[in-house]
Amino acid sequence: MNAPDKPPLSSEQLIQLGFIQARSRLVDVAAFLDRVQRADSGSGGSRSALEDERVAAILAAMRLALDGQPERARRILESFSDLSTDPVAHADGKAARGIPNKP
Amino acid sequence: MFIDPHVHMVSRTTDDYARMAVAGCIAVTEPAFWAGYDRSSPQGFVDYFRQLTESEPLRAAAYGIRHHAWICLNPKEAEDHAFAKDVMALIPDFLKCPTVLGIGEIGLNRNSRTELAVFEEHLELAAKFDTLVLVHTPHLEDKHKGTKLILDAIRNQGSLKPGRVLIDHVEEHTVRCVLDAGFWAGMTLYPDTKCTAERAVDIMETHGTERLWINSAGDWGHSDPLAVPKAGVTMRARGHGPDAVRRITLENPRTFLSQSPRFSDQPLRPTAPDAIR
Ligand SMILES: [Zn+2]
Repeated sequence: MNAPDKPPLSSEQLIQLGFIQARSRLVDVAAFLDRVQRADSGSGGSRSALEDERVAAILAAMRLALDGQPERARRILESFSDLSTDPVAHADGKAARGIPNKP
Repeated sequence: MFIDPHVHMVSRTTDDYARMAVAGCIAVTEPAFWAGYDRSSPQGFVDYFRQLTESEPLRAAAYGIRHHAWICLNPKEAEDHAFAKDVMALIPDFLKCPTVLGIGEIGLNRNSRTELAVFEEHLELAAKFDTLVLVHTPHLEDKHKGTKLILDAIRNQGSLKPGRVLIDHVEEHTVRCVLDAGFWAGMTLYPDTKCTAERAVDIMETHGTERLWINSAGDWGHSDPLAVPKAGVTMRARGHGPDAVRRITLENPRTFLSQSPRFSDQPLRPTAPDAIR
């Protein structure tokens, strides 16, 4: 298998294979957003949880998935990436958090 | 038959060895990594390196699995440079062990200056002792930047051949630059982070399978030591034949690892009572 330009299965076969899982994962994302928003309502805060930078990063990534262009996975991963180029002065804890810190 | 070229068996039970053997595992390679806590002294690393080079080969052999190790100070414990130097001074002795393939898994965690300096010092050790190198790339938002810093550091080192270095944990946004620079690339099959089996098959279809391997990176976290054979099943479901599965799960790791004369995946007679039940 050396970079064939087409996968062995037809698009119909791939949909058959992956649709139920993709459907389920999408409902999971929607339920996550509902859950966060539900916990937010009535809390009296002025800022919506949907503006949390991690949640906002997911909403922005979903827009990439809808733009009709190829390489959605690569582009979404890049949207979640620190695109700066210099090493940082000190490690900021051991664990990454999933989106870059604001500059 | 398959090889899991990156799995932390010190964190797994003997039942996992038994299950891997039943699924067809004939060899594993185990990089040195973070234990989930920081060791309080360099002596803690001596004990760990002895576990990797003395205890694990025996545990694995009982199930007919060849065990090999990679030695280093992992990047999560590399932020204290003086401590790191003390640990690195221990490495040359362990590189002489008959099942040690090289330096690994070195790399970056949070892309700090000290991590990068310690990474570069490990590269010098690998060059001096002419060993293979297994490189960990950072997690999540740090992976893209860390992979580029790592590739630059190896190029700047100057004498390490890209074909003797494997850059692990690649994903869709890092695989191309690794392969284009002539390095080997590893895909880690994790349930939540890194790659799912479905995405690993997408990457194979898009970028080909030359200089590419898959591993479970099974450890004390959420991971699956049967991830490699399960990905083989996913490949079959996606229309790839047994030859393609064999290439990615057996022949590719064998090709890379056999650059060390210490690597072997020759059949080994299992001796554990429950392996022959
Ligand atoms: Zn690892």
